[in-house]
Amino acid sequence: MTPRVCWVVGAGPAGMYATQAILRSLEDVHVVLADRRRVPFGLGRFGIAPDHPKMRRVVTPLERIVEDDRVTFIGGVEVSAARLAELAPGFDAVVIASGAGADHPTDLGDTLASREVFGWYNADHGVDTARVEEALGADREVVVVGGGNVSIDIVRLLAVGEDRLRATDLPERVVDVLVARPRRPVHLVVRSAASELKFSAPMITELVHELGLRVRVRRHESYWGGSSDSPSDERRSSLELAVSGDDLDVDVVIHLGAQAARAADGAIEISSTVDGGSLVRLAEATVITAIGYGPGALMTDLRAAPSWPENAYVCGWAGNGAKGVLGTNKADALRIVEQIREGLAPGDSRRLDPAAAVAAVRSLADDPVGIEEWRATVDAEILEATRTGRGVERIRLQPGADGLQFGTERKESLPWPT
Amino acid sequence: MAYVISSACIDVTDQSCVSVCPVDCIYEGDRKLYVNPNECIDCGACEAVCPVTAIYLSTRLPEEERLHAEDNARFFAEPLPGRDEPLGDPGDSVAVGRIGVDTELVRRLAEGGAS
Ligand SMILES: Cc1cc2nc3c(=O)[nH]c(=O)nc-3n(C[C@H](O)[C@H](O)[C@H](O)COP(=O)(O)OP(=O)(O)OC[C@H]3O[C@@H](n4cnc5c(N)ncnc54)[C@H](O)[C@@H]3O)c2cc1C
Ligand code: SF4
Ligand code: SF4
Repeated sequence: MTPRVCWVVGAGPAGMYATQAILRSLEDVHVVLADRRRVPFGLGRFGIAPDHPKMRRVVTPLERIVEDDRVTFIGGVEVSAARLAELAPGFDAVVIASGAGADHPTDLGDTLASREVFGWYNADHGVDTARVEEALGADREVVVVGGGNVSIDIVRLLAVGEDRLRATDLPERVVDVLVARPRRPVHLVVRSAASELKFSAPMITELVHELGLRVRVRRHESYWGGSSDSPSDERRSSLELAVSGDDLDVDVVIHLGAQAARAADGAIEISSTVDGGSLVRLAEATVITAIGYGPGALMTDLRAAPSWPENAYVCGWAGNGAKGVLGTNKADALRIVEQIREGLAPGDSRRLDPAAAVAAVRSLADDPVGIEEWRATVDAEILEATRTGRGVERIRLQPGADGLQFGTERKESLPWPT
Repeated sequence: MAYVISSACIDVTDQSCVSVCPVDCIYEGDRKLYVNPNECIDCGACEAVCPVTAIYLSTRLPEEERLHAEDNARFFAEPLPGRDEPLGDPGDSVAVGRIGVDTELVRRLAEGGAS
């Protein structure tokens, strides 16, 4: 009997946990794991903050999964809804784990999207680094809009000192740009009052207690009073502690119950969401938006299609509106793989055998790459770190017609193993 | 730091935490589960799903549960009762499966609770 064959689209945390759950729960199975990026792990590699090395270790167990003999990783494959529907019948099940789409738009004019910023500092490809570096290098304040953990990550990296930055695996170039930034306060504009904050308490505590940043919290007066739910005690205490920053000379100003708007003259005005009262006006500012993400193109197109492929399941940020942390995706993966197991047709179907399944998915890409690309990236990063004398250093993959560029060195794309 | 499973887990062991742990670092003893502090990445996912609030970041443990920080570590670092070798850092609680033994402390607490 030929093994079961599953296709996982997207090798971020959700796709990796789905793959892991498939390997653990189906006996004789092969997983074709496809990603549009040339290396796996999605936001597990290109999202999680570089100054949280412990959290970054999430990829360690994922590496074991992607190296499993029963898994074939194919990078550089952008899967469209049409191709997915066409190939799906050849598989026992298809898992759509393509993550969320672009940042929600705002009416703030020219802004940096959070994806550009964390993509830049995490050395993701496809980021216009010159644009980000110009906006962040300018001698003006930065305003970050959004009340989630992503906005806190960005604020923290803009505010911490050189020692902290050098201790991470940030690309050398990114450290240089961040260090050269004029020392001006970073403003964080959060619409919610304290009672509805989305970021977790330890994220704020970290700014003040662990990093010793001078944080000032400006809040609308009804910030606890106006709402019937009071913030959790711990969150309250971390916010209250943070208030004791010096008024003029601070690293971070957190505006709660506030909104940002672009005035006719281009200035950024931060005002209260309750009475519209103006809190701060900045003649010039770089604005970064981190207010959540829309659905990605693949999910949008699949939902708009007349019929849903009957053996396709959605997992992680692709399906839940970009909510939830790493562990949420894991639970999601376990749940859908249970459904897959129950829905498997007994005996034979029109399934492809593993080799044909791999070939079919590979044929969707002009320049598909295997897991060797990931191994080469890791090796090149170790080399680069040795050269620069830092413990580790992330390098930027720049796929182009002339091969991949690793840091300062250029190398050819790796051939597909035969 | 690391997250720590405290005494409230004893005899509940519903494994909600296990299904959200992104690195499979929560191991099942006999009547309680334990977090491997070397493997835990401090993501906090387990704390949010525990039905009996048994899980805390080590620095936030209530006073009377403090001893569980060391006890979770001991589960891996020292040979468990009836074993010659410590469990160490296997890196995969699913592969290891149910261990069926608790630390001395937990055994005492569990028996005390049952009587
Ligand atoms: C800046 C940031 C920091 C974070 N920090 C933490 C943290 O510290 N702790 C925590 O628990 N969580 C954190 N998260 C949340 C965590 O990253 C997400 O929960 C998780 O990445 C979602 O996984 P996913 O696989 O659904 O999506 P993604 O990680 O986005 O993965 C989706 C994958 O699909 C691929 N893909 C997309 N479209 C296609 C297509 N058409 N064809 C082929 N491949 C495609 C993408 O290239 C990507 O690799 C953070 C998120 C961000 C943005
Ligand atoms: S979720 Fe809580 S009670 Fe359940 S097994 Fe985990 S620690 Fe024990
Ligand atoms: S904090 Fe995260 S990594 Fe640590 S035990 Fe809990 S779920 Fe696992």
